[in-house]
Amino acid sequence: MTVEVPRVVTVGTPFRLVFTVNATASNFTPPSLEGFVVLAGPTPSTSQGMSIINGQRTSSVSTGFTYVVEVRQEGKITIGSGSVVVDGRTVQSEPVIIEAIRGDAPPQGNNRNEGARASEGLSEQDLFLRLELSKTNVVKGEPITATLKLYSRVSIEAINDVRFPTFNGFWSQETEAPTDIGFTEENVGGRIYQVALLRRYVLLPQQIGALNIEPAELVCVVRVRGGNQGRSLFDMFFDDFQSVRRRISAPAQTVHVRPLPDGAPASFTGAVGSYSLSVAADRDSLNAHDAVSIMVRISGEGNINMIEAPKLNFPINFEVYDTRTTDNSRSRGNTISGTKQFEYPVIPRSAGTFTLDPVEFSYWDITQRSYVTLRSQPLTLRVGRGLGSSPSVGFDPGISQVAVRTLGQDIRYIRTAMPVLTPVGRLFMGSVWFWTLAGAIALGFTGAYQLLLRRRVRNKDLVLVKSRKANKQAKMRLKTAGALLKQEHHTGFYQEVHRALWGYVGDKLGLPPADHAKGPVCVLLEERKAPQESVQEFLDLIESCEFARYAPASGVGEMDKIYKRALLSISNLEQII
Amino acid sequence: MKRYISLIFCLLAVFGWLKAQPADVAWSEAGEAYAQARYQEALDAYTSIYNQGFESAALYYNIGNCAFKLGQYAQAVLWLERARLLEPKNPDILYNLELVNRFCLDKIESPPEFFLHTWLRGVRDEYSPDQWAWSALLFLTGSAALLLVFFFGRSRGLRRRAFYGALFVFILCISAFSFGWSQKVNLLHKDYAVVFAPVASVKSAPDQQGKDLFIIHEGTKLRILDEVSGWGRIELADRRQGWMELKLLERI
Repeated sequence: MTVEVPRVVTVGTPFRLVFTVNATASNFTPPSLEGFVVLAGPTPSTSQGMSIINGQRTSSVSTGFTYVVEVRQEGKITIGSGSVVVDGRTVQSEPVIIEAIRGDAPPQGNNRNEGARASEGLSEQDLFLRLELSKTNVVKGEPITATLKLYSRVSIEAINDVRFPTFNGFWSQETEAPTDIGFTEENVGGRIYQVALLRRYVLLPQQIGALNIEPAELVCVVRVRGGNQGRSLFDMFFDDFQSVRRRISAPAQTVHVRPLPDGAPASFTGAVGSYSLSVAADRDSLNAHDAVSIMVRISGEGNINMIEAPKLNFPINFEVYDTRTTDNSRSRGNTISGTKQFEYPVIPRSAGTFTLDPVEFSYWDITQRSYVTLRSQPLTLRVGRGLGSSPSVGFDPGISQVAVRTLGQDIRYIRTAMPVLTPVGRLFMGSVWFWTLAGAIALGFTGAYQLLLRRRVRNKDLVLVKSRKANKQAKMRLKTAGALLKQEHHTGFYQEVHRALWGYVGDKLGLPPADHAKGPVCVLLEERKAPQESVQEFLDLIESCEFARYAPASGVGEMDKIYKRALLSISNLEQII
Repeated sequence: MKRYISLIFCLLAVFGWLKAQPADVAWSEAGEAYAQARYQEALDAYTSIYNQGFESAALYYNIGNCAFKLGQYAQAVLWLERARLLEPKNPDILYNLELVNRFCLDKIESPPEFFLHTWLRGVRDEYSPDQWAWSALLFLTGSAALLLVFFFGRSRGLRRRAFYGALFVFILCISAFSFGWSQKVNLLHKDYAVVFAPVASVKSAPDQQGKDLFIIHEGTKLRILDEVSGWGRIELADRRQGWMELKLLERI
């Protein structure tokens, strides 16, 4: 149930108050009309309509209850809710507040004064255009509502040649652009105007400084009474209205746009308003090489259509594709609100559990006058191995090797192990030490050369050296025997020679004294390639010694002969074995 | 003889280690500071070790890294080049030097070198001058021993082989010595320098009025050929020559 009534009325002027229901109704209970003087009514009326559009028949019925009322006092008056019964249900109307003002003569007055006034031409107050801005002092990105209205106190026949304002430095969007212009009453400075809303915009300042809005212009064709003073008697009976073209424009306006203060968070990209953030993946477990979409939704109020996609840091082995943006924002009333959704399609190329960094989104909160940073929960994706990675060798197309990518370059890290520090500029090369050592080597070479030279001279006759050595050995062995020979100690001498011969051969052949027998000694000596005669001589000597030990004492000449033979035999054997 | 020498060297090493005890502390502190990205502190600590009169390729390398992290590219080039002089073939030093050079403005193409020269320098840089010195001494000993064999060898064949061996080893000794000596000269003579001024103009004469030949920037390495009263005759890697003030340079 609707109430049709002018929103602003003049005290003492009758006006119509109509309650309408789009149905057949009965039992109208009028509201209390306190403060009104009811001049007539309620007068019920019924209207029926039928239309066929594309073969579809629609019929409409409406019932109205009309009052003619008048207000006697200035101020705001509330019309309470009236009710009717429709099909057994009670339908109520919304309360309406109207304003009564002490106006001047009513606009449609029929007296001569008014006509005379009108004939003087239209004044600035009778017809004007106005651009109303919700704010003129804003920060960059803060939404402003701009409303273009036509105010009139004369009847308008037509509007044409409309030039709408241009908003340089703003992002603008029309939120209301009525196709047919409806007038409502409005109180402006104590006068009732017929006001038409032409356009409503939401503006987002994109630049900083004083931004001028170019004036809007239009041409109105207005019906005014003819301004002919000396008119004839007949003219009194005919209204000589005439159409007047009038160009009117809204005054230019300036909006002061301040920059946003410093200290914006790193994730701030220019969003202004109040928002909320939600991040979700369309699934949280998948196989490698499967696609997954990360959805970031930002919903709220403000310059939402200006919001850029927040930057997401994906793990390196994720292949990231272009972000898809869905803008569900609508300009509703004074501001733009809604949801903007960013979809990040990614394909993980390897298995594992990955935690995506929290998404950060920052905006400037208009009401709190501060930056607000929203942070989502970290998102965890479990990426399975997929089907293509069975451990069988042979047909395994699933694994493809990828070259290791270089992501960045930096200098190599410092050396951490303590180095060997040397005093600056001290080098072994060319130092005194070096030359000393080189000299020492040269000296050593000369010394060794001299030594070897002398040794070579001495060793010239190798045989002589050998026999001298062998004689020395034999003499050493027969030292005691020589002493006994000088003492002419017969038994002792032979015993000693016998012992010396066996001792020498035993030592040379490595035979223990128990094995001192002629047989093995003979074999061993022959193994060492001793000449037969030397071996025979040795054995003969042993035999003669053994024999002489028990034989009657022989002469000194015999002992001396044995001694010389033993000497020669040892010397011979020494040179051979 | 040799045992005494090694004993003396051991003693020297122990003595050096005792003296370097505070450097040890500074070293580990610097490493920690670097790990926690406090590069200035690390640089100060490493520089304090250097100021005690010590050197080491690792020390220079770390100083260069700190300087790079602090954005002092000319310093970084200087210290890394110093480290390279001590260890010419160290891959870490070469890698970082190449990376740091990308941050320097001047790009100088060096003309191709005769391959034998490159090859010889490659062989020379394989070891440090001290290593060359020791190997020269070793080769000297070897050739002396072979010479003794030549003089006192028993058979004719042995003596002939010993003679050629001694000749060969002596050539090796001479080469090792000359490689080491060349490196030592390279190290001590400080022929090369790094430009420290942000922009420096190279003149045609050792005089402010000289004609500007070209402009070089911070971090460029060049060679000083000659010096005249605070001016140096410099040569770029591409063989262009000119004069510039020595105070704009820092010798490597």
